[in-house]
Amino acid sequence: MNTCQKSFGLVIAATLIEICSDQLLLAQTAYPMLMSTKPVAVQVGTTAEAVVGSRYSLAGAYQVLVSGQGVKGEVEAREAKSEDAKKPLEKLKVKFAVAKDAQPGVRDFRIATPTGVSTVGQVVVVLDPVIAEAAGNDTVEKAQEITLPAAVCGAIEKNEDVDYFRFHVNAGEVLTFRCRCARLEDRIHDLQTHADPIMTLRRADGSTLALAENRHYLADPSLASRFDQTGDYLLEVRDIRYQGNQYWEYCLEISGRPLVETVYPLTVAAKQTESLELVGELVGNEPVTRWPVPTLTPGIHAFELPLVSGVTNPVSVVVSDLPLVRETDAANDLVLGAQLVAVPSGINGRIDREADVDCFVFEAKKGEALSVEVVARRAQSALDATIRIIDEKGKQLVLNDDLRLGKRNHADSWIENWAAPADGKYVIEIRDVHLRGGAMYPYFIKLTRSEPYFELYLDSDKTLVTPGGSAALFVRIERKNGFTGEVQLAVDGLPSGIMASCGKILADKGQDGCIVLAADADANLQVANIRITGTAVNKTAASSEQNLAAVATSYQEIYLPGGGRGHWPVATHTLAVADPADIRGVSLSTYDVTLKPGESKKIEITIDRSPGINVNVTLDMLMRHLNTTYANTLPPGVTVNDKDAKSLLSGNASEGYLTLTAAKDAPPCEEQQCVVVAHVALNFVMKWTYASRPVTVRVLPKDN
Amino acid sequence: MRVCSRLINAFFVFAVVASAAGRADAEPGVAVSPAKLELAGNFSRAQLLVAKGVKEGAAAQNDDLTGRAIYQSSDTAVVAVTPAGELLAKGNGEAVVTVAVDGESVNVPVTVRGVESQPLAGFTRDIRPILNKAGCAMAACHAAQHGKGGFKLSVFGFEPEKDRDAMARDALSRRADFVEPEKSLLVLKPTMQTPHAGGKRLEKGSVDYQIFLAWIAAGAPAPKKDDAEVVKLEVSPPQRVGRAGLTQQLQVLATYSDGARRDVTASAKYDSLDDGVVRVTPAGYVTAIGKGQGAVMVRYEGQAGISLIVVPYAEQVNLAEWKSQNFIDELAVVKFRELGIEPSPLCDDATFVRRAYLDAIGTLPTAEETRAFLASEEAEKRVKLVDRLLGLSSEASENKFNDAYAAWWALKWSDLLRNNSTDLGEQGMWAMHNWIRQSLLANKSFDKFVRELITARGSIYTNGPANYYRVHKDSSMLAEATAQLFLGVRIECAKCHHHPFEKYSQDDYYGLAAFFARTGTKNSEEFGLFGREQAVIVRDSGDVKSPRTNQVLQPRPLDGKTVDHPFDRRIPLADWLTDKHNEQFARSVANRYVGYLLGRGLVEPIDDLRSTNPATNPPLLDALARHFAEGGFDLKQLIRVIMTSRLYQLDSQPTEANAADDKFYSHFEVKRMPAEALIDAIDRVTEIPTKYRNLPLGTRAIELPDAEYPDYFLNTFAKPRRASVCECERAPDPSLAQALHTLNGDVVALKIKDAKGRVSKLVTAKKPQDEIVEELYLAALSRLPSDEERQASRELLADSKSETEFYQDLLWALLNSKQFLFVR
Repeated sequence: MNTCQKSFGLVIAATLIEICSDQLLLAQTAYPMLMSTKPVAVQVGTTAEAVVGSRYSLAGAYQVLVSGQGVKGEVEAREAKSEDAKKPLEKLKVKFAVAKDAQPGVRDFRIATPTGVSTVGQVVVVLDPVIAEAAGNDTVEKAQEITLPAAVCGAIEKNEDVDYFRFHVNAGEVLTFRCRCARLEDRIHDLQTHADPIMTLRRADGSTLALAENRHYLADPSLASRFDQTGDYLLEVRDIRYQGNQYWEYCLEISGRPLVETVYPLTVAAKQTESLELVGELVGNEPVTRWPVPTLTPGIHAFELPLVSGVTNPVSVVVSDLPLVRETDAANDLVLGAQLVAVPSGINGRIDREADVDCFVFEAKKGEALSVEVVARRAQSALDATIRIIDEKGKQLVLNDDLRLGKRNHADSWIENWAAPADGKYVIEIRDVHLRGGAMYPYFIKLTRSEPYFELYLDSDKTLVTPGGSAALFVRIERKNGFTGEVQLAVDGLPSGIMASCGKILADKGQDGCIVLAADADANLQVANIRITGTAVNKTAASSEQNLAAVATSYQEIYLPGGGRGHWPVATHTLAVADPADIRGVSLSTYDVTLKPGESKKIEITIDRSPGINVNVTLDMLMRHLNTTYANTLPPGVTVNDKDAKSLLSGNASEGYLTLTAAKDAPPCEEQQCVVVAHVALNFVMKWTYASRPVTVRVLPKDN
Repeated sequence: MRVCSRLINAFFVFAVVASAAGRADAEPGVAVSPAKLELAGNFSRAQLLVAKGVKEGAAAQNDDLTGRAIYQSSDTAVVAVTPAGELLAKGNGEAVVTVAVDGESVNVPVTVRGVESQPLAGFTRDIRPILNKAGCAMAACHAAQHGKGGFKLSVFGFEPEKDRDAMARDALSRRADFVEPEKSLLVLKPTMQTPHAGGKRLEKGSVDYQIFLAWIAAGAPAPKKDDAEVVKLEVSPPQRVGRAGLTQQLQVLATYSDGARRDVTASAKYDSLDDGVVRVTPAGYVTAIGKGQGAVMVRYEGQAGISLIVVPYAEQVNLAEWKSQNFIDELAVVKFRELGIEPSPLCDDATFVRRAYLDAIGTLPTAEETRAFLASEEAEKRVKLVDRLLGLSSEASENKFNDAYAAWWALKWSDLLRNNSTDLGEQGMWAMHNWIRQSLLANKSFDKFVRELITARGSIYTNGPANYYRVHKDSSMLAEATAQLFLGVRIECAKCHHHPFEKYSQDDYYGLAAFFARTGTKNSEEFGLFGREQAVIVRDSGDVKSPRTNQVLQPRPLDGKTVDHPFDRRIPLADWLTDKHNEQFARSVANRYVGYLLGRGLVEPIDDLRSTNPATNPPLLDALARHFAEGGFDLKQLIRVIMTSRLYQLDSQPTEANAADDKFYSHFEVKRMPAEALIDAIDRVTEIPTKYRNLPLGTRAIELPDAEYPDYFLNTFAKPRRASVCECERAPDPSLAQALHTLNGDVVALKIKDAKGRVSKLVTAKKPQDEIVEELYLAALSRLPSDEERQASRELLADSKSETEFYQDLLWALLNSKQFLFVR
């Protein structure tokens, strides 16, 4: 390398360092991101303390929100103070009180602090006493003694960590071992590596008795074992790769109770008494249960089904209002033997054995639009369905393996809005894509006439607003079965002092809408789960009108390795009023932009930085990360001209601008609510998004 | 069928087909095969075989008189005969060939028909065999990538249309002169009438030369799609036993797809597979030049066969001491008798216990285990030890080696299945490892193991064998790997051309690949947003085409018929592959395990079971395969039957009588300990475990799941990188680097002198000197020191300045001894 090349290299290196330094100018105010709960389980009917780990500070935590019924969380004020004010409080004791009748299973929780509400964490409600892992149980010789039944909670906390537990059983005893670990990590925002746990049951001398990796399709193991000899045994837990992480918590439920994994039939009608076959481990004595189905909305619900000896663990059951039919015993493996079903129907069936194929035949008129949806994996069936519609001659007309709901893929199948090519009979063929079968493979097929509808998805799991400030909430639509109408957004559950300006999703090509939330200047610290809905009127060809509505699904933002932004569905969207943060307000030169086709207009933007805040701020009217646009509420044909903008405000800069341009062929738009957002990076993925008041954007007809 | 009766049958079949009259009117003691024959068409040839008597049950011992006999034709205008006993049709009619030898004579009636004044020669039947025999269609000659001298042929003539065009049409037809065929470059060059870089390949005036001229004169007719192809090759005699110097003319018969049979002795290609034992001329004349067993490979038109030549090491052999333990021994002793080999005696108990532990579970016995075995006086203690090591003991508490057994053999199958994190990621690699290990732990039947692998679908994390479809990424790789792993067939040559040493064509190759044409993967989110789980799926479409014909090929097992399945065509493949009657499947596994345990396969390389690569003891391989299949493909039982045989328990020290044998197991084959077992043994002896990357301390090398570790010892001792399904990837030979590493390297030295090590502990415990020496010998060599060794130790210790250093030196010497480094 010559001197010139060296100098050039140094310049490049220096530039890179400068760029990276810019990137690292992160927010000075950040909401906490929950990482772990130790121990991760709480027994029903008890109150127990757990230490919640987080990134960013939990100092000042004042409220715990827990999903579902029967579990309350509480933070003692003295616990929420950091001993050293300069150090973030990243461990916090939380008391969870679990009612006796609380349903076992995983609950999400969040912790509200003056810097906003946290991302979600998990706590597991269990039936048996919780035993926390003791230190130093990493070898057979140092195995921790435990008494069963129990819910053993620990962590695969470091690389090469192996945890051993020793227990005593009597000859003939049968136990189930159920691990929850990887599944507790899906919704953790900043956990960039996940556990892949494996359990090994060993004899006292360390020799292998049984090994369990992933149960059916689950990322976690479970197993049942009968012990022929009285004595001590060992349970070994580790990551399959011998990797570890201080946040990889696990809960091992070990008991002699049955472990019900699915039922047949998978779907029941509300308010009926149903006989259900229980499928799972140790269900031999009580394989069928009669159960009065409660009144519930159609969908997938987790129920504790009645047993002579009590109730089962919660099991997924589908409740449907469709006329239900069940697969008969007749051979229906071939098109010729297909079982006749009506439209609409809800078909309960099961892929009984390896390579089993089930066929159902229905009649349809030419042009009739139908949907065939399989509900199986979403309701804990092991089936990875694949479905086809075949004509009477055996010709495949359409096939579907996996379906996509919102931002995520699912193993279930769904043929939507399929139009019959002619009057005649058609066959639905269903099988496991991997040709597996057995009791664990029930399914429910919804055969319906396709009706227009829509689904709504939120871009995030929470919205933060500061006193006197505004926040934006973006909603994306998925249009189904020909629905093209406009959707009016709404929000309920707002705490006092918060006003919402609800926008709409424009008809036809409109994809996103926004809701702008504004807090009173004297709004108090508070937190609440809110619900975002959308309503629309669908105009049919016959000039009749049909009211449609949907509730938006919330997504937790996930930090993907490498800096990508992922989304995982969560049950709640939480609004928090936080203390004043880095940016106190975002004001604009205009809140009403009217564009002619081909015209551009500039919006001057001023941000009000809190004293001493010099973080970089990025201005935008879209929700973008790296090269992906997650929300764009602008009217069709209107774009943000990135070449004519001052969108990065560095250091103490507080003034910038954005330019909106209407394409020459932009269609007219009466008005659309938009918003200017000011992003402050919390890490490479997460942002605190401050917002302006709503901006109305119009596009005039071409000849105006 | 026994070898000798096969020989009789071979003679009989040809006689029946070639002769309407049946057996020869042979003088007593001399037999000619065929006894009567018919030659059809110009250039039709046949080879006579003359033997001294045809003794039922001992045909392999018949002396071949073909080379010494005198032949005379009654009418040379009808049939000519060479001094080597080759007949050539000359004109239509009947004649008698008289064969005279050792004062006896035999008349062979010959009928010739179909000889034309303007003979016809076809490309497929006549020209291509000449090109192959002369070497023109070899990769080193005109079948090179760009041909030679502007003239390009396909490899082994697998593209006959193109070859014919290259010969007769291309280059403005300059190679073929249809008016004056003898002026064609096609004959001028190989006869060296004009310069030819490839040298002389054809004799002017020879039959092959005349065939060429006839073909050119007829306008060099192109091959036809329905030209009959050779479907079977019979080589006579299949086996010959005799003394050094014996000669044997071979006779080769080809059966065509249209049912026709031809003597192709003159056109077949011959190669010796054992140059130290046997030589063969281009005319198929064999001479035994050494002692032992050697094979001659015979190839013709994509088919191959062998003739086995056996020359006993000794005339007399004393096998009175031989006590067969099972069928292995019964069949081994037949071979010993045939070859005149006297096996070594049984090894002693100390040798056996060490050998058995290392072979069955890859683990050195502890000093206590060795001591207990040596002291044991229970009946059949060797059999019981094998049962304990394999977890087959009736006392469940004695089956404590199951985990070690599973780990050791999982290492072997992980190598072969190429399990590695580079291709599969950490989770996929572990999933596959756990599946292999659990399968062995449960002693899953091997057909089930293979079926699960071949038909694997679903999650690469949950279903370990699904990763087979990620290691081998396309249908070609899968076909090649599957054939080699479970049939011992190396089919990759047939991807581009007909297999040079096998019967397999491109259609066979792509027919097998077609089973895998529809496998693929889909993404799954069961393991979360960035679990990166994939599932192996079978699509409803996807085919392979013949690169030669561009035709879609239906899935077809090797040597089988086309099969299919509505959802997964791999299912019928697994059915066929693991069928009890698929001898090749059981033979390939049996041969592998013989190789692992006895140090050498009955077929070598152990994963190359070509018909042209015969077993050293075919009946033994057949019997083992039968035992394995009929026993439900039980690997533990296969290991057990081998390890409990007398053959396995022979001393490794050769005797004067069997020192020359390196194929027939007359003494136990000394094996270098594989890298993983060796470092584990060093760890066990020194009591200082080795730490491996990303695994907790205490994890043994035989338990390592992945292919590569940054461990100098393992790499020096040739732990394979799992880049190939070939057994050859684990190099078995010792090297200088290995010797230097144990002699001078840090690994052994540091373990020996570690303060927590065995020597330090023994010294610190102030054990008596004899006891320490005994302990070190038992730990390292699994035997007690001899009196001389004890005495030498006492003397050396007395001369040593430091007791600790003396014991360290002693252990160093033991660990560097051949007795430690090798399984013997």
